[in-house]
Amino acid sequence: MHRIAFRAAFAAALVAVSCLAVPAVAQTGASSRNYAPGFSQRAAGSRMVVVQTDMELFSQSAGGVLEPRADWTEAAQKNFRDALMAQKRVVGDNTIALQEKDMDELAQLNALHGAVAEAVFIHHMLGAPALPTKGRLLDWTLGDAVQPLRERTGADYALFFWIRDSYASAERKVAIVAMALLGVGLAGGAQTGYASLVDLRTGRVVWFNNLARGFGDLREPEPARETVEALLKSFPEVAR
Amino acid sequence: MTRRLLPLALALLLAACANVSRMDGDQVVNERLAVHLTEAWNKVSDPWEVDPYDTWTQEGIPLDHLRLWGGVRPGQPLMTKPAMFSREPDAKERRVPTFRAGLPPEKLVGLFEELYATAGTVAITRVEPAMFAGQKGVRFEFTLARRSDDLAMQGVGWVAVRPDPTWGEELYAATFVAPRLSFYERLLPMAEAVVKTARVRATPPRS
Repeated sequence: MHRIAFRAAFAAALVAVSCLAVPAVAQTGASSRNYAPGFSQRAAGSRMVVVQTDMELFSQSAGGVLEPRADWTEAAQKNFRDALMAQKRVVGDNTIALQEKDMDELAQLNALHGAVAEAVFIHHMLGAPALPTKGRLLDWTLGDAVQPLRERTGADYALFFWIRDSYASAERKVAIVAMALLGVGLAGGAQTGYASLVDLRTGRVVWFNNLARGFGDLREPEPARETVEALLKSFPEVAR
Repeated sequence: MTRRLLPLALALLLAACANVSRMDGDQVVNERLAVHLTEAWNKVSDPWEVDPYDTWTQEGIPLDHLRLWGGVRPGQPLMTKPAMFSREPDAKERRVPTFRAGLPPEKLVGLFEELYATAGTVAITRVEPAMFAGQKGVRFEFTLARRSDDLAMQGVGWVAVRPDPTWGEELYAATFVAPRLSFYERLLPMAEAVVKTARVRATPPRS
């Protein structure tokens, strides 16, 4: 398997995440930061399309090398999708689920969402650094890039996800314990996830939430359900 | 793919260290390139302030940037050495595009092709004569298939060289890059508005 050493980068990322751990946890709660100005709930009778999650799971070796695990990713996709579809306050009769084959043509849109979500995470949710021109508002849009999705589905909103999850291997866990005895801290796995609700008429991100934490497990159904609930905790209701 | 965690790692590292300030009105890059902004931009300061260019953005670091170079002298690089958090055992040391005196236009464009090749696969799609900072130069367009997330980016650049009595020549340049979908067309006029105002600032008299 192609291996790339990410130790320095990943360690740096974990340092950054741990420095920001308190706000990261707080982000799972409902907050006006999660909503675009003027938006509080989905329109009555609106339809929502759920876009296939951009997801990848990794194993972390003893030395900190991250290796993609296709088998874990496949299982996690199923667990995540099942947990999502069980969230009746989020999905309902007016929900459309795209299939993987549909996403082949929309791959660039999903990649664009990943970049937009990362910008929202860094500059709005973490605010480190915030963009002065944004005025600390959730003010991002995918623009007219969403039009093909609206034309194909007729939906009013689209729900996007971007998730990366890594898990310490048994060897890594041994290394963590051994180095801890020597007074050296080593990082284990980490779970990062973004969820965005996009208004397909305008492309505007009207709701956003994220996870950035050192726990969670998408490989099994029950903890996957916890991840979905945490990520969608402040998800907007449909107006009655 | 594994590489997709790298941008997140770098973004988080940058988030922990970077400084962003609002830019509007009259601004000067490297004490040599003056521009006037009618719409505000966000200037991203490198944590270690080593990049030889200013980076400004509208929508954020992962999405778009306007880079400005002012008064690059012969022998000076256009970028710092790309951070290498990973390297194959047999990987060669990466070259850094460096300005040299006497470069023809296609070689000048090649410097920026080389610069953006550190982020992905670059294809120059158009080169044409243009004025930049009051100097005759070239305008070039390019596509960038970003390696970190497979996102298709589109870019444009302006580069001109000015004779200098002390250094022989000085390079002035600007590039703007954004996702091809939606962002590039929407933000390009804002970048062009800045570029149109670019002018060389007079060298302060030596004391």
